[in-house]
Parts: sequence; structure tokens; C-alpha cells
Amino acid sequence: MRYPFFTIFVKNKLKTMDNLIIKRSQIIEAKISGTPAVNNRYFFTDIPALSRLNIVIYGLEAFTSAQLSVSPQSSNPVVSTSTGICVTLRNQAKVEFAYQIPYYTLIRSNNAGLVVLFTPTTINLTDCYVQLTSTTSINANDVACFNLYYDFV
Amino acid sequence: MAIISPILQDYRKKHRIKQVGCFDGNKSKFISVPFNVRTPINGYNYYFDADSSLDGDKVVISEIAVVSATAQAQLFTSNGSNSVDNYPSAQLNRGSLYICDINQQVISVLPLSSLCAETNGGKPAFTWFDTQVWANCYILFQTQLTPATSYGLGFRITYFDKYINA
Repeated sequence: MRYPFFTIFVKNKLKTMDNLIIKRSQIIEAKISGTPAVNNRYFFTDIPALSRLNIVIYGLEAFTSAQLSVSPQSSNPVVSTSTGICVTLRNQAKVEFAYQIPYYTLIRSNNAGLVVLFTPTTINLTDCYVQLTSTTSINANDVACFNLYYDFV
Repeated sequence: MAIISPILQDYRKKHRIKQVGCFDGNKSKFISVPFNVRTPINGYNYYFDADSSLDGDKVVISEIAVVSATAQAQLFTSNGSNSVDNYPSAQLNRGSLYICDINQQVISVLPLSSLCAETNGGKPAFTWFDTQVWANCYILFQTQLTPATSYGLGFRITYFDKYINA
């Protein structure tokens, strides 16, 4: 047995699910510059540390102001009532491998604590963007804020 | 026999996912961070006391949980003689935990609210940190805590010795 004291095995009793293990993470932001507008693309701010080609992402978690009141770059995350946001991720070949994922489905507390997983892939962060389907509750210069979980390969 | 997809199998092997419903590790430690009997200041790094038993050269941290004031109202101070109020749960969105390695490179930035199991469907935040130096890790608040009073912040760290699981 690997973990003699704290492991509570639930196999054969409950159907369990897997959840993400955080190995490395980086908070990324897409600023909604100017007056929010439906359909506009708001691209992510570059994070040089994520530009390395030996990095694969495997999970993504979104935050509203209920989870993070101010982002690390001192911007205001969107509020929890702003339900009109979608995020699109593009890889190095500019393929939109995750197209218009509703923001709310990426919030951990809305998914019973589970984090959304991806197959391991490289991304081109500055090609990734968020779009608005509604501007309700979104103010100019709010940010769509995410924690990107990644690993080295 | 369980049938799982190849990608899940690969992720389990690389320590990227594991089954929920368990706290695993062979040791656990409760760490309280008193903020010097004053309100935490935003923009200031609150470093943890050095603790070699939590450094990555010896252990792998497998879970970090913020213990909310609902679960533990009072915390010990660092000398263990007094107690301070635990940080109010409703204000966990104001800070983040920064995990750093020996070169003070940030390995991971974790908002405190996402480390609290109670607000995340009871699911703990699993981690696989094996290069951290605990004395280089810190808490950073982005906005000022209110009301102004003395607080501490409690973490339950679950970890295992590297030599056991090598």
C-alpha cells in the first residue's frame, strides 16, 4: 500500500471520478478593453514563461470575482453574474481545438469541485481569446481570468 | 477490472489526475500563518516560516487545503501560546498562495478560494509539488482585508516522503 495512513479507498463502493493534480499553474487574463461588445475577440495577455515549446497544458479553471477579487495584474475579474462569455483556445498550428467553451462551465465550484481537463497540447496563448455573447454585468477593462495547469514534457 | 481510456491512464501515470474521494499522503501538517497581529496588507508577500519537512528535496506535497473559519474558528500563533481568529471564508477571494522553488521561481499560483474544499463541492485541491522550498512560498493579498482586525490563515498540507514512494 503506497499511502498507509490517509488513503480511504472507495473502490467497489462508489463510482468515483478523477480530478486534476496541480503540477504547475499560471494565471492568465484576457482584458475586455474598452466598451464591452458582443462578438469582439479579446485576446489573452502574453505570458513569456508559457511560450516554451516543452510545455503542455492539461487543465483550465476560470475565476470570477467570487473566487478572485483582483487578478495578479491588478485588474477586476468579471463578476459571477456575467454569463455571456466564451473562451477559445488555439494551438501552435492555430487550430481552435477548444472552440467557444462557456466560461461558467470552467468554474470549479460550479462543477462540484472538478477541474476541466484537456488532452495534452501546446497552445499559442496570444492567439487564444474570449468572446462575449452578452455584455450584461461586464464592465470596460474587466478581465476573464483563468488558471492554466501545465506540465513539462 | 476497470476499463479506462488511454489518456486517463497516461494522466494517472504522469501524476496529472487521480481519483477524488481520498486524502492521500502519509503525513499531514496544519500550518497557521498569523499576520503579526494586524490586518494583512495588500501587495505584501507573507512568507511561510522555514520548514524543511515540507521542502521538495524530501517530500512531495500531494494536497493543500485552506481550512476555513467555518471548520476551525481559532488558530495557533507561531509560538503556539495564543490564538488568533481564522481568516473569514467570505474574503478568501482576496489572496493567492504562491509556490516557489529554490530559485524563487513561481511554480504555481493558487487562489485561496480554489484551495477551500467547502466551496468546491468538497473536493480537495490535489497537487504534485516536488521542487518547492517552503520558506520561499508566500501568500499575497490583492485587496485589503476588512474589517481591520488580527487574523491568521490555516492550511492543511498533506504530503509523503519521497523515499517511500520512489
